[in-house]
Amino acid sequence: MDKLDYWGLMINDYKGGIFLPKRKRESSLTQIEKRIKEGRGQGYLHDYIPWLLIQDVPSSGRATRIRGWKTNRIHHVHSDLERSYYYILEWSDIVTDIREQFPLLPIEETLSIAEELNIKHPTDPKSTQPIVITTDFMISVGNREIARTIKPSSQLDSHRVIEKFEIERRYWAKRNIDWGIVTEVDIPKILIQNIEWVHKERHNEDVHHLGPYIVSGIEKIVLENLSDAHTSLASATSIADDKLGLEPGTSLAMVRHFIAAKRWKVNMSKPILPSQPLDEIIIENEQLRNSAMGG
Amino acid sequence: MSNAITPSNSIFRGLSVEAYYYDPQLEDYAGNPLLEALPPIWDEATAVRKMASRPRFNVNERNLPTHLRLHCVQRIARDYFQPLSTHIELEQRISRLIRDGYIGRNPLEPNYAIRARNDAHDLIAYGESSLYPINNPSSSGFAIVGISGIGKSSALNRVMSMYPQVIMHSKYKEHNLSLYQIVWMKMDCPQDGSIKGLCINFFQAIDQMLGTNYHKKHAGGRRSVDELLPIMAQIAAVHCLGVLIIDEIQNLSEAKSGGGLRMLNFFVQLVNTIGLPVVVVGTFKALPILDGEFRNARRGTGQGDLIWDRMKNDDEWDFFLQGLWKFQWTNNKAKFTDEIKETMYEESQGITDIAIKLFMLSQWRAIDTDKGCLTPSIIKSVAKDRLQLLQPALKALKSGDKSKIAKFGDVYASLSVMDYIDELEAKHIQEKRLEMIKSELGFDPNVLIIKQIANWLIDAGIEPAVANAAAEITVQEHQQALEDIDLNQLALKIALANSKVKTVSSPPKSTRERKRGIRTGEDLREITSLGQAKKLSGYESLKLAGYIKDPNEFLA
Repeated sequence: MDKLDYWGLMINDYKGGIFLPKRKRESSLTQIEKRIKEGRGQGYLHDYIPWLLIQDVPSSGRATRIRGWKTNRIHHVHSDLERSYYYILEWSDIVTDIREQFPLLPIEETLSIAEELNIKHPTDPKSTQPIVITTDFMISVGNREIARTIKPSSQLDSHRVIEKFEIERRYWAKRNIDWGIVTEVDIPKILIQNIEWVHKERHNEDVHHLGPYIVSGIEKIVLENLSDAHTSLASATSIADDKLGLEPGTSLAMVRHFIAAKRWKVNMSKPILPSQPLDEIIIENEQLRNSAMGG
Repeated sequence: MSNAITPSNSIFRGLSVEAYYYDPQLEDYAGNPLLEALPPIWDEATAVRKMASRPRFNVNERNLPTHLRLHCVQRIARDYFQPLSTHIELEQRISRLIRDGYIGRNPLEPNYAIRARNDAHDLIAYGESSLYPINNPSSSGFAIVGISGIGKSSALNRVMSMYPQVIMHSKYKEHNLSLYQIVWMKMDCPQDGSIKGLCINFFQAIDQMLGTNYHKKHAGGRRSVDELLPIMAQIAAVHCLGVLIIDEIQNLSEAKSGGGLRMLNFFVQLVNTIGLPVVVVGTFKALPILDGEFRNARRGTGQGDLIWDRMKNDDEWDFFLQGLWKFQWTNNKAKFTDEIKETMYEESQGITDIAIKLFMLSQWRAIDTDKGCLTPSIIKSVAKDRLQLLQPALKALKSGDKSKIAKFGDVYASLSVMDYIDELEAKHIQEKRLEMIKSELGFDPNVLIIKQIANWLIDAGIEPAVANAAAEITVQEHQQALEDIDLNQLALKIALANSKVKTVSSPPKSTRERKRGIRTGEDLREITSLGQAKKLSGYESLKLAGYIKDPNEFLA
């Protein structure tokens, strides 16, 4: 069984069985201890477990689980905005690890910052007990760690939001970790749509099933057809499917794989639409590039 | 000369302004003076702020004699408007609709006026256009359907008054342009549902706005409806009408046989010929009429109808009532308890207009009978004897029995129309928006007051950290009389006491720092409140201070 599923079971166990309601009333401290014991907020890459999983947070309807390129584990993102930012991090060539919902532990430290600032520490609305503050993303770039929090810009006018951020900022400042806020204002929407479109094909099983020979066959035929500026990506790939006798859609998925694996470099700031031609493709492999250009 | 039809004055009027051309923000809106002269496209937060309105309120008024306090209560009906998620939806739809409608109409195009005039006329008079198949209307409009009293009309009035009604163009870039652009026109469907009445109202309204003479010219003689409709279309085209809103559309069901259908046909033609979006508004009684011709016209435009149901007893209801609850002129302020919330819902059944009226009536009774403050039992008894006429309908709603509800045509939430809305999707949007509204308007009224006082202190030269703390202490200590105007002074006293060492001894430093820029400290609270004093948004201040990060920072 996949280890991730095993986690899933573990998490359900922690709640006392799969069929129990999502959140069981527990005293705050024992809950925090339990989570730490489970390994939440600890580890790196494949072994990291977010402090907050989707199932811990009242659904806002937009939570998503995505299998990560860099970590090969399931990432839990809680909003569209978080997901967008996550995709950019995935696309980056220098980011090595992404740890979402990173806890600011020990809780005593944020409690004392709050007290010092005369700010109310965030609490669980039901139990009114203090809760562990989390930073949305801990990002590793080389051996550097960077903390980023995601928030819609409109909420930055809220006094309360700023107060909570001030706690977060001080916590990271003490650790000399660069902390900052990312809002929807600066998010490049088209880039994200494009990454989202290719994301799940990075580890495309067909690459192994079909073998390198057929895969490069697909690549050649698609590129050849795309070199005609009037041919849409969809028709170029369906020609390839036809010629090679593949199930319809195989080649299109393969193109998404090429882009995701950066085997093809394309202009990511322009919407990639199957109904449109795809130009400005840069291929690293010179031999292939020549044949694609009809050379 | 008298008309058989008395014109109604049920026309909502807006402002007239001279054209100022804004950056249209989007490429497809550029180069079209009609679009560039519109106000900027607001984000949700700005729209909420622009829509919201609160009555004047001063705690000291609680000491006024009874007869004056009764007047104070009246302010609620006049000035209270709480934007809710449906209102944001409405604002956005209208915003898209108006702009979309103008895309196909650019007065800078050669022969635009002649073309518009002739085409509109011919198409409606003869059913076909003689010249060009002009604008390809991508936009058509939609219907707003909801229980009476849920606030459809007042919300529309709010939204429309965010736009000027008439924009006078004289010069656009190097083009001379002499044009009155009517951005919107909102009128009621005549009581008898007659088309002629509608046309005459329309002419009169245009004359009032522009000083033209259409009414005298066209409505005087014995012109038939067949003649009037093309003229109306022509006028709409020539004056670049942005959106036509017809309220009380359920009156069409009173029209003589065929009349209602004909008017809807006319609206459809307006949409198709001159690309003029039409919004029709009515109670559920109008549904059967709307289901025919008009629905077909709206298909495929992506703008489904807006079904405006009564509120559910949920967070948004809570939010709505809490906002209302601040305005009490009784001797004492009644706390907002769960019991009050439930009683209000029970008695108004989530119909906002009834809730507001009930709140006012109950206050009146409490003041009048020297009861001191509002209680659930006052609310209940007021509902019982003052809302008597509504009782049968409310009872039906309470029972949840569809056959009973259906008898009250206007208070009828039909389930069959819900197929327009993916209910779940709608709910998520509502939650998200409520969150935004809360943070925008300050769900906790104290937060807003603290902010105001703190800003006042900062303006007075107090260090922001001290100012914030002082404001907070003041508000906490004077919970009971928050609306009192003296809070500023109290806070100043506390602030001065606390900052004697720091500020008063070195005031020049603090002013100098303030002038130098936003970044006086690293404290985010300080940064944002300083920014606020300079009218910067939280985002802008934090960006200047370097805390807003570029999401692309890790991309090559």
